[in-house]
Amino acid sequence: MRYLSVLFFYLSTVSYFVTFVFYLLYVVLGSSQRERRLGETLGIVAAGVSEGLSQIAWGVWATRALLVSIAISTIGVIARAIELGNASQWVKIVLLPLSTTYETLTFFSWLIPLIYFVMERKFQIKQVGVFVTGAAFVMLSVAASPSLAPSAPTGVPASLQSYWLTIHVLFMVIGIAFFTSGFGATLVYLWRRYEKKLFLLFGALLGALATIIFIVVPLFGTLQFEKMLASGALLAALCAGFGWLLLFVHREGQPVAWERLENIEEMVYRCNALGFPFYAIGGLVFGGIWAEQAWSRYWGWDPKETAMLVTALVYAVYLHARLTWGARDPGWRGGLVAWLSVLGYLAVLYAWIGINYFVASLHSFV
Amino acid sequence: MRAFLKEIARDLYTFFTSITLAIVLISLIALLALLGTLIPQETFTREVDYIARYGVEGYNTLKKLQLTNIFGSWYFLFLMALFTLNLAACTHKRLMASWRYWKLPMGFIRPEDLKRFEHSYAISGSVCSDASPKIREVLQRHGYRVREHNSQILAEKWRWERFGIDVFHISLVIVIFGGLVTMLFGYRTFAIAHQGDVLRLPGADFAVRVNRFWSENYKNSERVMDWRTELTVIENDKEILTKTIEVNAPLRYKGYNFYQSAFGTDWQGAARVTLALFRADGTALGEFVGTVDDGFAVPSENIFVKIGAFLPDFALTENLIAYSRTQRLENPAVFVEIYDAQGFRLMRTWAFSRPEMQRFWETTMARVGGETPYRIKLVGMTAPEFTGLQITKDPGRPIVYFGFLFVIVGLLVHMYFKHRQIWVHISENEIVIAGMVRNNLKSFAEEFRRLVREIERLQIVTHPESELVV
Repeated sequence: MRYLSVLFFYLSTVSYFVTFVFYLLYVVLGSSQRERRLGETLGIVAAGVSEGLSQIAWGVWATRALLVSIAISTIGVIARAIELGNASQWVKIVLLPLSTTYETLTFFSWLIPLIYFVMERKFQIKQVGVFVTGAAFVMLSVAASPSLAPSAPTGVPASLQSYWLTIHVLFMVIGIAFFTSGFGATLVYLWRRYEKKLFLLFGALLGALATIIFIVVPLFGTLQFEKMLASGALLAALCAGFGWLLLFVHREGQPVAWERLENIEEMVYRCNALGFPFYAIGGLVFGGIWAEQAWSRYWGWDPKETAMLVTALVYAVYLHARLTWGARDPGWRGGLVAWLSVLGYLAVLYAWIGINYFVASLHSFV
Repeated sequence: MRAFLKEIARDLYTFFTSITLAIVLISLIALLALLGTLIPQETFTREVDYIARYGVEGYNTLKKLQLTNIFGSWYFLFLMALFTLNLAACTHKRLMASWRYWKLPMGFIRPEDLKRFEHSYAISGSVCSDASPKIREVLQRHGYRVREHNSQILAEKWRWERFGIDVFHISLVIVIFGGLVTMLFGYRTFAIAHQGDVLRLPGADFAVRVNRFWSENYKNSERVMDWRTELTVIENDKEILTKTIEVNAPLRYKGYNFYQSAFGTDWQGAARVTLALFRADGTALGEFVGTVDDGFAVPSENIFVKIGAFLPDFALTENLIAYSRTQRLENPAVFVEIYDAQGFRLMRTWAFSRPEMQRFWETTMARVGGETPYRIKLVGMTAPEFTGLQITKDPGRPIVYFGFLFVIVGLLVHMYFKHRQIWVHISENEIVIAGMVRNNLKSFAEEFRRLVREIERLQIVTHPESELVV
């Protein structure tokens, strides 16, 4: 292993996987544990009956494992920062290793769990950890494959040699990290709200996305007027169909138990509301200032810029919708607010990763 | 009539101040912007690349629907104008509400109402006479502004945060306005410069000379570390200043900005090519050198060979327009025309340096156009290096920066400060503490608990039980 950071990131890959398993065990076995504790207090179940695995306080162990994983990642990130500095001969103070896909992925796998850890301490909803550690593990696995993300540090290209690299990217990354925790919380919220019906809704959402990617976009791409019209109609039909399904599920569903939802909804909102200023300021303001310095304009409708704007707009819609319709709306509107959070995260993924596969962009280095 | 107009104005105001309209407009803008990321936009795409990708017909459809320039299309601008109006109207409405909120004083609230607050706590027992100043001190230590009204302490902090979101929204309008100023009164051009060139700009009373330019590699590596150009500003024949610009570090002078924007070999503009000439029967006539847009004479044949164009990476579109796919020397080709002494064109053709391309082209041409009097091969090529400078004049810059500053301030204030109010009602045998925070912020509960604990620790309430024991 030529680079110390690579070793530590391999270690943290393993560590995050173990953490992921702990969180999973907490979710699967923890619920029976909670029921048993309830049973003990009610005197239904005799106290002290050993149930093997479910006896262990998986939630506590999961958090401990999370801390260990974060510590390992921290060493990796620091080592990487030094390696990058050496490789680029310390041209500018390049504080953060954020100049290639490998570096952003490994950096994310450090920051996302870190921010989640803070939110977990505040809200104590550990189910979210399954998604967050799972995401960190997937990112590190992608980073570990040399064809997708070469790990050797190279000199920072001229276009990135600026203090704004650190400021702009750090803000974006913090924003995305908050959104990731928010998305994990949204998943838990949606599960509590819809339970088994969520499979139906997610199935429909996946189906709609697949239809958009494989039918709507290519149909539009034929650029024949009738087919473009048909693609637009199909898109409208898909939106209407999903909306109808949502309405249907809401009408058929049980009345919402607020005490189960309130805390998790608050976590979703907090994460998104905390992430938004970072994302919007980092993208629109700092990105704009840097773009003026490097490319001579604040805003040029570059695909990545535009996708960032779309994401910020979706989250702006989320914040406004929650403000006007309220989080406690028992009907479809309250549910729609949560689905906007899902849409926001899809936009994050598109702006962050998806866009790189569609169009050549000035931002093509990450 | 006036009543009618007034009614229309009111209806318009209601229409433009609705958040639902904002949500619909933002969604539409987001959708169009998304489309704009999927279709390459013409500001950074050449026509030939469109044709190579979509074909002539597809390109024409895209153009007709203005999809190659979505962000300049009438429908996008219309949406943006509506959105700006919506934003301005909403800001006005909110600002009025914020102003009313700002003016609304904290007032006396009866203790039994205070007890119904979400954050509320009562300490009963006989209260010391100096309770009020002690509690005021605690609150002041936590940053509260305190006043007293009818034996009730009214404390609050961060009332001004209510304006944060207004500042944010107004700043957004300011940034859009600054961008508009740049768009309307600004100036932007791209210049390809060689060593020693002097650039003159319209409306500027100075010129800029390109002294030299070079690139630096990382040590022991092929990787470029930076491109640099040394520029000298000349005003009234005097050298004012010399600065080396690089990527991320432009020269700014009198409102003009010079950016290091490109660097490379000027193949298409100034290539110097070596051509080998043959008669149709194969007799070699020798090798000749000429530059693009010029040519050379071949005295022995009494002809003039004109070099029309040079493409470093030759490719053809669907409708047979030749273009250069990249600026790298991948598939170099030169367009040549041959004239006789009277200026009559004898032939024209492309000549290639890759032999398989040359063979393919010659056989195809022979099939289509028959014999040509001469055959030409491209045997050598050089071109001067150039530095590409982006030059802008940007009068909207201060406005945009001003807007940026307050976008940050407004958003941070809105997100991280919330107006907090505390009422403390002191009577002889009870202290009632109640708190309120705007937007029902959850973390306020913690602060409230801390405050209550500190007030309890003051020991200004003696419990009646202990009195009984004594």
